[in-house]
Amino acid sequence: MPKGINRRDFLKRSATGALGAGLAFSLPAIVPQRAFGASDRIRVGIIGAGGMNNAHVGWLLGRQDVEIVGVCDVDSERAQQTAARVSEDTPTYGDFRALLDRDDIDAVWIATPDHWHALTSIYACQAGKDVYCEKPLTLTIDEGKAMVKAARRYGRVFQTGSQQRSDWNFRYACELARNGYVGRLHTIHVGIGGGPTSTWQPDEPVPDNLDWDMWLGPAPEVPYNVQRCHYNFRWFYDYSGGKMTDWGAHHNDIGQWGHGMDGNGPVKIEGTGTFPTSGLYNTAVNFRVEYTYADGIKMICSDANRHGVVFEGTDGEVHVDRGFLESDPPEIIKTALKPDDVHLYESPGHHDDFLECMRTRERPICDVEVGHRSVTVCHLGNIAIRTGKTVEWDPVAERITNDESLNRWLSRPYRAPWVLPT
Amino acid sequence: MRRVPTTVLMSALLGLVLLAGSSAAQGYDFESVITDLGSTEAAVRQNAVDRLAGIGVLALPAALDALQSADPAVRQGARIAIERITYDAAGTYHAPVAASHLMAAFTESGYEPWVRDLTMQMLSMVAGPGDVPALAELIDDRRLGEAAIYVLTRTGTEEAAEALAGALDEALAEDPEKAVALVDALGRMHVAPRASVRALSSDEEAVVLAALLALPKAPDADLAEPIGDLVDSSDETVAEAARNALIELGCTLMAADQTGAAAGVFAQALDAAANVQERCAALAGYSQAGGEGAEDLLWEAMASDEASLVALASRQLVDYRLDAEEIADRINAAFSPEREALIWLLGEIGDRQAVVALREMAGHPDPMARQAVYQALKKNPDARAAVDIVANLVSDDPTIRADGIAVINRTPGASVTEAIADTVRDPGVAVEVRTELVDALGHRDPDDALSPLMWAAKTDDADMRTAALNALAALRAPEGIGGLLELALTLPEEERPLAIAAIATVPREDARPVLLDLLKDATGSKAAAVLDVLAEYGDPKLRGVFAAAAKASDPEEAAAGVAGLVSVPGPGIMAVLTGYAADEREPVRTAAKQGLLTLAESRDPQDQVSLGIYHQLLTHQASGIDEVKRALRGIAQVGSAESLDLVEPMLDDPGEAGNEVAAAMVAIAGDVALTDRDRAIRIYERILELSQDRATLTAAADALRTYGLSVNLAGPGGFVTGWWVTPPIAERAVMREENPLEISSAIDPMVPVSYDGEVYPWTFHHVDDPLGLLNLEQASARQDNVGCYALATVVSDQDRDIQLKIGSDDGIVVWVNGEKVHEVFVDRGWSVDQDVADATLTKGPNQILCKVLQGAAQWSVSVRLTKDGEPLVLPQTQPVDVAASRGVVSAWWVTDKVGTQDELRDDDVIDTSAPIDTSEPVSVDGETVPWQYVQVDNLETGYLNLRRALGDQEHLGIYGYVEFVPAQAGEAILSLGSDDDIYVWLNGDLVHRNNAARAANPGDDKVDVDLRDGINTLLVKVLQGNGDWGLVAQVLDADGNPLPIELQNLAE
Repeated sequence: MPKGINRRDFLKRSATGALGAGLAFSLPAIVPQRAFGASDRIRVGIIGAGGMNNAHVGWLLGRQDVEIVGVCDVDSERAQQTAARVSEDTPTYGDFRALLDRDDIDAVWIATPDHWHALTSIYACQAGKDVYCEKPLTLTIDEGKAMVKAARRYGRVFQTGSQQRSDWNFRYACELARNGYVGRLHTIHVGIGGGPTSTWQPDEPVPDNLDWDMWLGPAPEVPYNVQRCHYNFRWFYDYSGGKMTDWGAHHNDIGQWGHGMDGNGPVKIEGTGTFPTSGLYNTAVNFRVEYTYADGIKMICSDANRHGVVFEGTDGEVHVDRGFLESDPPEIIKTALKPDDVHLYESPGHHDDFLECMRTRERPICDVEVGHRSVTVCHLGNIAIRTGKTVEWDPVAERITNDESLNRWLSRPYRAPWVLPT
Repeated sequence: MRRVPTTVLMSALLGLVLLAGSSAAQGYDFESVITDLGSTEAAVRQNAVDRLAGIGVLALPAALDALQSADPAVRQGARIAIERITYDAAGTYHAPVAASHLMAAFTESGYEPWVRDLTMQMLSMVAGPGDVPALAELIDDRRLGEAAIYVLTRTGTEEAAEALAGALDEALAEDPEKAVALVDALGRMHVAPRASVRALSSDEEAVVLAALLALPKAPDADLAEPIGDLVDSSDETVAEAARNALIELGCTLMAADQTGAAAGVFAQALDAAANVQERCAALAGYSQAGGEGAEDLLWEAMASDEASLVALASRQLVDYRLDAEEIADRINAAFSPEREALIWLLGEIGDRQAVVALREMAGHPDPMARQAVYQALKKNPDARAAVDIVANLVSDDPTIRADGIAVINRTPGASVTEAIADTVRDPGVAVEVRTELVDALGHRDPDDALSPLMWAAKTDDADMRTAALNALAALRAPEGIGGLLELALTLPEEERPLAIAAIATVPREDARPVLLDLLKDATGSKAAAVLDVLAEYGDPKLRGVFAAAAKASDPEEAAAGVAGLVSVPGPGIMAVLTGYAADEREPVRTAAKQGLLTLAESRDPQDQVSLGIYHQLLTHQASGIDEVKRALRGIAQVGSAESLDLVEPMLDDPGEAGNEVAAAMVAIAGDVALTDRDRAIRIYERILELSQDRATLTAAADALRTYGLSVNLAGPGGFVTGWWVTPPIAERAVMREENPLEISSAIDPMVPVSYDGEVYPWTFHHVDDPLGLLNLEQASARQDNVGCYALATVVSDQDRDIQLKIGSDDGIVVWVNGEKVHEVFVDRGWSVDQDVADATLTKGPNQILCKVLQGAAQWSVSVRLTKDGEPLVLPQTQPVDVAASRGVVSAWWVTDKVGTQDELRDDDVIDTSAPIDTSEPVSVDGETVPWQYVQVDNLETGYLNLRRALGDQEHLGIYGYVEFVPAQAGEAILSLGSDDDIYVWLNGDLVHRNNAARAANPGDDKVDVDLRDGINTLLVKVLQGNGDWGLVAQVLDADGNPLPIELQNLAE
């Protein structure tokens, strides 16, 4: 058993976590602000002190109603640097469980490598914290199911960090598609760019400031290599899903939204891909995945597509990307929604929405199930391109139906003693 | 050697039996395939992986063996092959064979954790019932036990559950840690064997907790009793876990459709609940399971002081048939948060009574309650409520007002529109509120919204007018066209496009009859505006309308008619337009010429007809610069030598159309070159002088290079054209704060940057971009969130102050001779000369060092030297110069084969005593062998890979030649290496000979020589046996230190 990890500790947390409303519901109450910490401020813990969370920290530091009270990272230097941005005496942690043990923390911001998202989120829910967790939400589909269950079970507000949902451009494009302003929607084109390759770099001693065993956590044990660590983790299937999940979690998510498929998914997935022929990275370099939904609509996700999302219908198309919105014909994007059109959730901003929902106990715009379902689409694409097999998917049962052996792809063994609480 | 369980051996034997039955396994040369996995050629490696994967499970043993290779490339290739083979085998009859091989490797993997974890992962994809015994034998293994347990759970078989339960029986008595793992594993399999129930009685708290987590995952109502026994445990941790376990068990039973049993379990949990959270969860479950009296319990909870309990109860009550009036009565008597929860509940009920109740509360005096009402009405639009909300908006704060407008925008009905319109017209209402409501009118029924919007579009308030025009565009109402036309002719100039745009959004089939009707009585500008919109439709049926308009006496209307004809081209259109192009009225002429250009451009591909139009316009009719540019762009598209005489004279005075003239000439020159190459070259050279367009310059330069001419695009602009670049060294944030490179004025690019235990070598990159852009995605790496260095050396003939003009994507820090002269930390795209920095150059070499920080996507840099605003073109040190400063011969003139290895051992085919004229080929047996100029492959060592330069040849000899001036004459050392034999002549004298079959290592041969002042000649003869083939040479002083040299006979 790796040092510092105590299975008994897991058990105590899992068996005695603070229950919420449980079952299929989160708490819907309007919770008075006094429920939060001193001075009505929301007290936040940071888990993962890399690029994303440092961006979040920058935003949080600008809020008068938020107080960052602890920073955790397995890289002590990173933890200290981030904590120093908050104050001289902000405590740092190498083990997220120590941070979660604090009962004065209302919410955690999780931006670890992807293979840690599920465990940190679930333990946070068990510890009674609301969760803002970066995308892609999971490493496997079963992790997503467990995260949804934990959020509901412990009554937590859970925002997935797919911030495009809070962007006016994306919402409007989805509303145009949902309300038939492109005619009958038949194809969604998703462009997310190709994955990188790496050079050889020999394994090396673990830096003193890094708890490598904890960094690996549930992932297979391997020697330390800087190319695996920190930002580059996303190019390894042991920790992430490559470009397919890194950007697919953004744009496939928009595809799902514009198609009205939150809580649902495709029924057939076919894909091809090419993979690095050298270096350490092993996620797909080029790929094309065709998703077919039960209503016959197709979503094609490829590195070769124009970046962004194109909703193509019988009367035209809308192309949306960050800071970019175009339609053909151009008149489509001049449309004003009518009273009886579908109006999608209007988020005041991704962080604001989360904080607001912490107070109202409503589900935020990118609730855990939305994040789970969207990254499921990405995972299914990866399964198709990695196995070369057609995948037939039951989005209700969340099972692969045409080849039982493929259902083993829905999860992956954790390295002991870590287990996925289910 | 580890003991291999007998069952593993049996599985392996099964595999061998299957292998023996396959002809594919026999005689396959796995060894060579595995060797290929480590090839330096990516294609060879990929091919080897493909071959292994193609063979399938039969190749698995070899691939698994290869995991032990010392070569990381082999290990990675093997890993990929193993994954592909396993994934292919999963779910097929090959799975058992794959599992047997993986089982053997897994069992033997204790020496290397990553092999253990890989084989465990793969085994977990294919293991089946047949593998259970072997896995069960490993449960007690110290290194593999946990992994084996995990794989067993993934088989999902009864056999696996039985094996785990059996092991648990033993572990409960002997090994609590193991017992915990086994109980957990059985829970993940959703089974509750007796052993797991027994675990509840363990003396070890951890085992009991594990059981309380695991057991509820099995849909077995009988488990409630043993779990329930623990809710009164004196160990509060166990008691709390038991209470949670009851709730979990209830959930599991619900999921298994055992609602009756679930209700009983939830009731038990409700009784045991020790805090509000547990009560919430148990109550929710009891309610959902249809427990008796649940509704009464929920109403009790609604009256609770606990906000979470109130919220929970309101959510659950939605599932009951509730009377909205009764809830409304409760609301009147309730306070927050129950009041808001009840309002929310009304919204969820959503029947007529509920909506009536919500309507009556739309003007609730408490803002919190009012906001809750608005939220509920969003889901239940009601016109009367919306009318009330419109009235309330005046007093609502902006946040609540936004909710109110959201309700309004979701509520159809003329009465709502009327209320909005009245408020818009009410001068007593704040203008910002009225403007927001104008926007809301854009969402309404046009029949009702048109009139108030037209009114708003004519008000004095500019914001409201703009909002109204945008709303009219959103309305897309044909009835509004007339009014919009009037507005287009009367509004302030800057607002007219909004009015025209609003007309254009009207669906064409609706707008066309309206427009045609308007056209009957319209003249002048109004008619032109109508015609402009109609021209957008491209409807051939409108041709007559346009033809008639083109004959109108009003010039503006006639021009619009001509433009309309272009939108619906028919037979004879060219002639018609040509005629109008000579019309005496300027607007008509312009419209006709624009039309001709449009028609020419629309031909696909553009052809002689197009060209005729372009020539005609340039020759006789073009008047405006825009038309000239369009014609030239068209000529560039066609690219015919026929345009030469027309366009070439324009090079002398192209005016504003310089870039277009140049681009056209590039295309024309391409056609000219087919018959007159020299003339084409002259054209390209002129274009390089004339054009400032990047694409045109690059095209001309590329064309010249195909004729063997060298072109320096960036140099004349003063740009740095030669950069030494490192790979990404660290993350951007780190690079921003730190300098992994010691900043100085004498950075040696031959010495890699060392940082954090790693080395990052410099590589040289030539800039071939007219704007000096160095693409760091190519030169350094395609990577986000990192930083690298770029280094250049310029040679100044005097001390001077200059200005550096810098462009970068993203942030950059610049040093000149070790002094920081500029820094900017931004996220931006690159463009030329984004920043300016003052700097001072000293006479001689000056180093410019940039640290370029990368956020995401593109990554690039450009730097140029200027003086008083003009480009400053200075010599720049090239790689050969750097190498030469270390005495390294960085480039050679070499022959190809001039004889066999044997023939040349004791004979020569050139005069070795005299300087060589490399422009004269070597004559051998009547054949000529030219001298070729090649640069070495490694500037640090001077290694020239002759196999790369001359091809993969065996048993031959070649000559190499170079002339150089040493920094000092006198005694010196030639440091040499060769693969294989070498002969060396310095200034015509044979100074060294070494006949050896060897690799070319620097310094293998050290030869004492005397160098003379001025040019020295160095001739070598290298004989090749087989295999690798190369040459190294460096000049050292008598003490063995590098002696700078200057190469003389460099190629251009």
